[in-house]
Amino acid sequence: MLVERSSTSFLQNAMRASIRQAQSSLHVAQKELSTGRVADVGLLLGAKLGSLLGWRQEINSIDRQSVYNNAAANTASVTQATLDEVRTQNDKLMGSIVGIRSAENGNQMLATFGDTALSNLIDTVSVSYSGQFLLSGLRPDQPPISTYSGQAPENAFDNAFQAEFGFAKDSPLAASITRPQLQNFLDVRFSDLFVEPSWSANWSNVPADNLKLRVDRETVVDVGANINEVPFRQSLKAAVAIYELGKAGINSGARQLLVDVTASELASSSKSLGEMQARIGVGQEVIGRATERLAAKKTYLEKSVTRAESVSQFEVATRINTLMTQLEASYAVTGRISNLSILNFI
Amino acid sequence: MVGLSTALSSALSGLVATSGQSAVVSRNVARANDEDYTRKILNLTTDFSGEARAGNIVRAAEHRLSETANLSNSALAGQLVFNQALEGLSSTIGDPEVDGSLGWSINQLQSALVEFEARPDSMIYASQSFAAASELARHLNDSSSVISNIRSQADSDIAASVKNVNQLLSEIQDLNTQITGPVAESSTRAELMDRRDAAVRKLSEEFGIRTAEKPNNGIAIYTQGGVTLFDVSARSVTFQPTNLSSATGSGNNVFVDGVQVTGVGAPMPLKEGKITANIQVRDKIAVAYQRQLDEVARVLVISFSEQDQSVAPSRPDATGLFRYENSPIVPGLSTIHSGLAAEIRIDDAFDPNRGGNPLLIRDGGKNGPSYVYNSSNLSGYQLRLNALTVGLNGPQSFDLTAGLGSNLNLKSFANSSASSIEQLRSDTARKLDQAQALHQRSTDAVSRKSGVNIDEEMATLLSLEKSYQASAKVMTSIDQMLSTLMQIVR
Repeated sequence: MLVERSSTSFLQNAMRASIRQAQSSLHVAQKELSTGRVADVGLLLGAKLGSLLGWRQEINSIDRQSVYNNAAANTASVTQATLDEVRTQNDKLMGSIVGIRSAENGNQMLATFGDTALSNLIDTVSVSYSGQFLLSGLRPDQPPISTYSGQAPENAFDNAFQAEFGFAKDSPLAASITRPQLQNFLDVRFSDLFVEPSWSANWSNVPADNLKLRVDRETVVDVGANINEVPFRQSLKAAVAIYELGKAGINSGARQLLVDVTASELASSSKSLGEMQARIGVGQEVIGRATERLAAKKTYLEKSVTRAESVSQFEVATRINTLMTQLEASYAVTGRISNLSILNFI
Repeated sequence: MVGLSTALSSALSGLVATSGQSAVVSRNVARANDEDYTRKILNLTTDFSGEARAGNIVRAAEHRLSETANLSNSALAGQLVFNQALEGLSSTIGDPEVDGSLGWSINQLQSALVEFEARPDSMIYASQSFAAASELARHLNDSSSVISNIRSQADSDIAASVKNVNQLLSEIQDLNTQITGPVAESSTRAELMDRRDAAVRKLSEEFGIRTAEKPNNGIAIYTQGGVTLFDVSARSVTFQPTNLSSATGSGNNVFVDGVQVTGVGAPMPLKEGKITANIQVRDKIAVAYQRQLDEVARVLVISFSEQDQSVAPSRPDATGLFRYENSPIVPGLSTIHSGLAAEIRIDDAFDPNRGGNPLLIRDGGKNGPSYVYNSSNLSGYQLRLNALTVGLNGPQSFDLTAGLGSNLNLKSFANSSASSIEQLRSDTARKLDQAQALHQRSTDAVSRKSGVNIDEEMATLLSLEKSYQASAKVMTSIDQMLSTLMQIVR
């Protein structure tokens, strides 16, 4: 057997190196045990670190997107509730006016109902949620429509009335308006108030487009209702007609026509509102599905992250035990070796 | 009579030789823990009269072993430099849990833009996007300054190394002259050779070297590439510190005796060691990372630039939210603009703290009315924000020389860049482990061969003691014999 020579400093260094190594491994293992994660993820993963970073970023995006989607879902619910409310008001108004079609003091009651309905409607469509007017389309910072009394819409009505009949709306001559005359007014001059250019000039200048919501990277939904849409104009039309003409005091023949015409406007409005609700309902479902998809993706991503960077506590605990045993052995051996000297024997 | 006096002088020479050997032993023991010290052995010779004489002091050194140790020393020193530099670069990425990476900042900006798109009328969301963009610009600036610090550190380390090399070479020259010259004492020569070996070992940290043994105990030193560093006289190693103001330009190279030994076009390049590693860090690793950051910055500047929105567009695109030294000129497509990551800033026009308006992100128009996207001044204008989001998610044309491919989106590019650094770091850590193991083994081999074993020396001392006692005993016996003889004669 070849006996290799060995120097004193070699003997001491060899022990020192192994103790140093074990101590640094122990330090790493300790950190891993307390955090449950690999001590130096970048060192372990190397080129795969980019994917891990991507996953973590994606998880954060999903968290933010989910909060955002919840807000979008809430907005959609508030919009739905608003549409419900407008429909209820339509139905209520319709019920009220049909009942007084031939009533004695019908005009006064029409005026009262119309007044209430108009202010309720304007109030309802000016709904705002977390600082945004929901029906204002791309101008969410301003109310969707103007109020009526004393504002541009009323002036426009006054002018149209004057132009049609040749006298002001508060003139007693209003009682002389015949059915065909009223029919003509409602069909042409009055209807024109609710279409362009009068609509934008007097009622509302918000654009017809709605805010789009990005519910995941690829999906953009529109769960908005816009004041420009027909049913709102129809409801407004009905309320204004009943209010103004009732107040003007038309004769009972004209009143019957007025009631018939407005009732059909209201019915058509409610029907269209139902269609709008269905469309928004589809959008709500898209949001819901997107949110579920994101949640599923997040679960998967979190698993990937865990797989990539977490350590098994048992494995680390075992490693620590081994290292400690090894260190103790090294200490013992170092102690014994340093005692081992020929000087003790001569 | 003649016999007795011969015996006496033999015993005396034994005493002298033994005390010489004891001196060597005691010197060995005294310096057992000096790593530069080589174990000495005193050879005994026999002179013509057959008496023991102290011969030459011999060093227990082996050229082949120390050569290997020096090479592993170079490798280890180089890997340590790499490791340190990559740890510095990796600090710009951080632990994934801390969310400090560049990709993370990009992601934050993207999320902020998506949220802003849903609430385009909201100043709060506009400011949030602005804040995310500032954070991103600052991240790029900070990372660039880390890189440029690492590069200038490498450059000054090279300068320090070169100074050290020249000092060591002149020290070696002095020692070598004394060693090969007419030195009386062999013990002095052995000490000088120890010191010369120590200097050579220090030299090997700077770059890989080979030594050749010459007559009269002289040596010659060559770089691993084959350039002569020292042969009888020291060659001068020169390096001009670089002013690294340009973010990605290469620095100056090192010359030995006028021959370029680092960088592109060096005929016999240096290998391993600190200098080589620092050159690599300064001109390759840090530069490659800087170029990737520059690409991220360039794509950001382009993505947020504004186009002429007139019916008949005639004005050139102009930089928007992100600006740089050449603003408002938009940087070129698919071509790195050196140092952009260090220069990228948020334009003051968007900064609410400087009288700017973050809503310009939504509306455009930083560069004048022709660049206004939101021409009807809608508070709910989404098109520009939507285009920005789609643009940032889409593939970009990156410069291929940034080394990460072309058709990635911005975030993936940033993450790949992090990957490339961490890949290098984990490779380097592995190589460092190997280099350490190799270095340990080769220095162990030297230590076992040339180091002092105190036990062994003590054992030698015991036997020396015995022979000293024996010689002394011989002398007393001869003395008695002589005095007996004298009494008889009297």
